[in-house]
Amino acid sequence: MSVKDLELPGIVVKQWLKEWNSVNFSQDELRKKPEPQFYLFSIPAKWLRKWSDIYRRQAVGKRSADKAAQRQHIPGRSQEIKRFIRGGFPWSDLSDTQKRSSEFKDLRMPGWLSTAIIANILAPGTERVNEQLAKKDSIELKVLSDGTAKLLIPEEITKGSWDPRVKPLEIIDGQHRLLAFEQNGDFDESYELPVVVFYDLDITWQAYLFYTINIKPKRINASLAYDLYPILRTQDWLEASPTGAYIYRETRAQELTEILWSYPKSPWFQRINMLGEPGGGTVTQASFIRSLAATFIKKWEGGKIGGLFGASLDSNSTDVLLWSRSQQAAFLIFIWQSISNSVGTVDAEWAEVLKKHRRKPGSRLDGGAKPSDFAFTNSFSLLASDQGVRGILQVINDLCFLAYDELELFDWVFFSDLEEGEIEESNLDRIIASIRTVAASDFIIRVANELANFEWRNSSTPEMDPELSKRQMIYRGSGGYKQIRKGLLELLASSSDEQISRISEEVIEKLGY
Amino acid sequence: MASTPVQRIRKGITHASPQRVRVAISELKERHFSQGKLLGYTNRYLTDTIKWVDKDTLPDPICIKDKDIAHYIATSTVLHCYDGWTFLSRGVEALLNGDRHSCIHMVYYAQLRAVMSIFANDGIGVFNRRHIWFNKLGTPDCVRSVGTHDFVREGFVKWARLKKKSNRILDVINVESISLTDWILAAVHGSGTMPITQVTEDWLESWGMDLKVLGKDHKLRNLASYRPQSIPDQPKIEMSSIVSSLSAFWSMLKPSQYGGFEMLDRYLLRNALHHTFRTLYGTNPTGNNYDSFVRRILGNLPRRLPTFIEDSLFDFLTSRTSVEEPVLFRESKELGLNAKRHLRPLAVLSRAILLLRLATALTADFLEENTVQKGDLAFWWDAQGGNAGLWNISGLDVDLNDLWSDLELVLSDVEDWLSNNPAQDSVSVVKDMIPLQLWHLSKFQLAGLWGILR
Repeated sequence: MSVKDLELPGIVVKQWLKEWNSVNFSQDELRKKPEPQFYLFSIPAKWLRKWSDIYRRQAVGKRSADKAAQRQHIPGRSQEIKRFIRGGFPWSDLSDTQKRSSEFKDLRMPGWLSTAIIANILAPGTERVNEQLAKKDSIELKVLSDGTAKLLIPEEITKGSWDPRVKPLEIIDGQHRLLAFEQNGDFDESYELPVVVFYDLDITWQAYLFYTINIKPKRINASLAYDLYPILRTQDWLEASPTGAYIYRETRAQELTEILWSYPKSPWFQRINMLGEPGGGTVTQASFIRSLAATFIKKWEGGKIGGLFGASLDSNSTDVLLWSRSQQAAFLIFIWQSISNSVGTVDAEWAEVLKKHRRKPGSRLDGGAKPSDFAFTNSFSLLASDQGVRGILQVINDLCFLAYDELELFDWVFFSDLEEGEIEESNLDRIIASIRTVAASDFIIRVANELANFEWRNSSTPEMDPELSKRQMIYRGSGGYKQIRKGLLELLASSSDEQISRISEEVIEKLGY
Repeated sequence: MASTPVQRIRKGITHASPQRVRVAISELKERHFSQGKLLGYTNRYLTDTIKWVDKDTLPDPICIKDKDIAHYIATSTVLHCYDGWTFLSRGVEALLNGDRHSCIHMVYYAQLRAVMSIFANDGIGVFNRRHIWFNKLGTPDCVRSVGTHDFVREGFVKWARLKKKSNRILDVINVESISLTDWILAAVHGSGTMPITQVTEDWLESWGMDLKVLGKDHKLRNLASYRPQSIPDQPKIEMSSIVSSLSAFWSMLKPSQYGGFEMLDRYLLRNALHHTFRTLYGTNPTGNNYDSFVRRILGNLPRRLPTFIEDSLFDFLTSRTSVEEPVLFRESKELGLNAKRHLRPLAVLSRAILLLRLATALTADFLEENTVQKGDLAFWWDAQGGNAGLWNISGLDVDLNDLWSDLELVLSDVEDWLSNNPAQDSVSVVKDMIPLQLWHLSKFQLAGLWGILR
């Protein structure tokens, strides 16, 4: 903008409902009736900084006479914003060492400040800090008949020496953004800021506006962003941020675990040890989270297999499954329901033996009424172990990841409002039912039927054949995770079901087993 | 006027800055870690370190090779920390063989290495009688003529009292991925008062990690190392009790999904909030006032936690669950030598674990901040783990956190054994009955790897 223009164009935003006329307006109480509109302008940051002031509460004088509404300035916050303007996110969060490193050189992003600054134009004669705004220092606001407006800037205030005690603009919200632009700083003059301008807005309304913008809103569940924009799940720049990737992966794993635990029709309903306490169940929340983070939610690691919910399904594209948290949860529940149904009806020795050793009725992890319950609560069942849970999740993720196209996973679309908090049970019911419309559902049921034939007894099962017990010991401890995954894949690869066998062999080859 | 040793130590600790070693670890990553080396072959201090440090710090001003020494100190953040866990393991092995004195000797060195790692994180290298520190401009300086133990002891006292340094501990330990700093700040959200500056110093003192660890236990170490072991008489080893305590220590070291220790960090949080409440209100953290305090904190955290997690944390933080103080913290309040001059190795062990927890957190953060990832140091930790018997062939295919499941089996076996052998004092009998389990119980290096490598 050239200072010789001295006029800035803007638009009028009319906002007034007749109900507002009954609000208590009082000039004496610093809440005189505002104009029925405000205005939108685009103002170069440097000039906005020069023409405005942020009045800090002064310690001198009576508090009641102190009309300034703003709060203290946190210098660190403005510095943070300044870094953001220069390099965007996550660049602004990196340490100096990281910024110098070649590893992070591609992480510079635009530092847009797209949220409007909120400002008030003082009418001439308005008093601030015991002085009045002089007419020569005032900015005139002219409303035109075509619905636009103009700010008329007196030449006086564009001079370098201009620095009155009371400036014509005061900032209601956005002080830290503005203070990131030092008065004599080196930001390009073309960096403009969107500014919402009120004219002669009384102090009480300024404070009210500040409150409703900054205090009233609830904190956002950050993982919701990954459902609003699923493409965020595979962005390099988020991976590089210390908090970015975590927010999705770990938080989503935690949310999904909680849903599996709390949804009444889930085989894991109240069976995951959420507190990690002794006697609270054999699979802890932490291990379930780890298993989800290592399977469905893991990122693509080039060459091998990524996570269905956390990676592009094709290394040559950015295709990400657009499933929301509800859909992801529903898919997992469907998997476990299928497993539960198949182990409940399978005619296998392991199942008969474990049924004999089910927990007593009335105990905290009672086997319950469902035929399959014995497998999920029995301390001799590998299905109720970390290794078993990880194995099931790994194998089904692997199969679905490689065969996403033939399983029509992209075709499973469910439109519903994104639920930020707890997901309604009825909503989950509907989403789970809708899975039946795609090829994946039948495939998972068939896979579950095959997996029910695995030897799910652990090596400590009473009266077990010694040789079998010895063989089952490979599933104990840290080695058990890999062994179970391998064992399950080998079982599936030997299936008479051509599709299952073929895809499993493909997985085995990918993993190098 | 010539300064006293204590003055020189305090000056070094106060003015030391981590900037230079942060740059150094990044340089090491780019040039040497990728080649499978911890230091360059031409690094002057790679071999005969003490000799060269002594020589280069003899003149005034010193003529130390600052880049080489910076690299050395940077690497030593990790190595001192891991060595500390290894010394701890050796100490536990000695104890499980009935040798209290050797245990205390080893565990003292575990504590020493923990503090040396903490110092290295701050740009301070401890070298026999010459100790190098970097100032914020990256210029090295030296504290001369002070022995290692005196430097560490006095230096740590000073370090604990420098808020800007010791408060970093609270920045690098997390619960539910929220730093202890942020948990404590949530307590004073909007109030304008900041008790955080008191927490760490009082915390360290109340744990006895300063003079109690390095002063009285230093003397204790001398007692263990230099005096005949049977004078004065020591009571019989209570193996069941020792095994039980070690199991309890291990249960606190379960790795969390956030890169720390799930249970230990929760208890540290509870401890810190109790302290903060006392500081703010001058009363004990109990009753409705404390409940409200915790609720307020949970409501003011920088990230909203799922309701269930909030509820379970509320119960834990208000001691509705896990009421009893863990053995680790109870033992840490005991002296290493009781009134009857009987050695108490578990007390020394517990403090070593707590010190190592701090060193590990700082080291992990140091690596992460400077982009050194687990894979960059794989050449080192894979070999270390193999040497320590933590894995058969290679640890590279294993998620280190999954190794906890091996410990779980051991702890379960030990629990069964203890229920059948509650008062077994014979070292040889116990070693016959549960040899594999005892072997696993001593492998504290694993906890070091969990904590350092995120």
